[in-house]
Amino acid sequence: MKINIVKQEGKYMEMEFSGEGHTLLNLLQDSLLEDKNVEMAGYSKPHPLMDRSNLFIRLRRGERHLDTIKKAVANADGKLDEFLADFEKSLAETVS
Amino acid sequence: MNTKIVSLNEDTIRFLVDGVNAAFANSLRRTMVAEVPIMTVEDIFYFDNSSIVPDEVLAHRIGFVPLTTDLDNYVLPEECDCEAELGCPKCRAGLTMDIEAKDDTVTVYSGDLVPEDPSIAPVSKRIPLAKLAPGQAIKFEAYAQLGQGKVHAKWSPVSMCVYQNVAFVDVEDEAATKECLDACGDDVAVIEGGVLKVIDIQGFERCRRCRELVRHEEIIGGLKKDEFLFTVESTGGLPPERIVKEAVKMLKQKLSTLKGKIEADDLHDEIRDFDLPEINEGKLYSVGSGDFDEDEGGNEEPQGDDVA
Repeated sequence: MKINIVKQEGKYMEMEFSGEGHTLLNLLQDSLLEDKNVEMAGYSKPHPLMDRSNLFIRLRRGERHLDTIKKAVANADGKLDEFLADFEKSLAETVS
Repeated sequence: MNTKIVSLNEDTIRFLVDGVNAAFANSLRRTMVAEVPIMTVEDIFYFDNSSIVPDEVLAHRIGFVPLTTDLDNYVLPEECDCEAELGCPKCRAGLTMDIEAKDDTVTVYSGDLVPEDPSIAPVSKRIPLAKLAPGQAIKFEAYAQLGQGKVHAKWSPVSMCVYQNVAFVDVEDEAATKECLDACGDDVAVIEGGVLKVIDIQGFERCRRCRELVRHEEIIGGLKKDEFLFTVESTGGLPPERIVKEAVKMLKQKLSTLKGKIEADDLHDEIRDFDLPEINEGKLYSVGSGDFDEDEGGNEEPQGDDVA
């Protein structure tokens, strides 16, 4: 995973990812949109054959984009943890 | 969030997830299809192939033979510290084949592949690979590696991985529906508090009686946005439940890489339009053994001075 901040002006930030696509960014976008302070979050792939994507974020207040992303990552991570715990529990019930 | 296993056997798992959105479900599906690694034959060295199947066609067929995978004892070649072109015992497993047709025509099956490590063996012994006429023979050494479905479809651990929404429908005639569901089975639909929960829409509509009781439009109108039925069918390389668990692990790893990069303030990498994978030293294709003798075949190449 390679990351490059293309633009960071006030409430807006644009980031470039290499080696990541819909798998990570769709999850991240959704997680970002759950944040009340995020006015807009989206991503695009310039071309389906390129291994690159762009992420756009605009906040309502403040300029702490990276903290917002970190929060979104923690949120998505929590959901995955919860799913895995739940899945293993129901698996144990099924097998036994 | 709530999950429930609908059915599980050695190659297919069907489970319900409640309280997640489509983005989560799709990320999970994409990870299972393209990122969870399994073992597949990648390099083959032929000693003899006098069959009518050309080397590269046979190699392609063998690449698609599913092999049982031991994820705990092998690592991806790009993550291995051996840096050898053909890998080391930590990142590759050998398989050999030595078969000759003597007096009769012989069909070569995947079961004729002899694994070096018994934990990396063909899932099915009954996949035909080639046919040999009397006197023909195939002899080769193959190396299996871990890989990901995004590089080549042969490394995808699932033959099918799909999800669909679950529908909730109000039933008019509960007694009749119940009677029909008793025959259809509770992995298709269940009645919960006077509401019919259609788990498997296609399975439900396969029954004519069910179809008459609940119209298709009602099911489509009653789709629940945050509950999904996943169907994961493994190729046999990994148990289906393991694929789901590995997918969650891989997604978590991606997120932690991103978090680590933000924390380390490593956010100004150079990104080119097309990054070639580093495993082949920037070359587009990996060339088997690598060192081909350019002068092979006795053709005399003009010397540097003469060309000028």
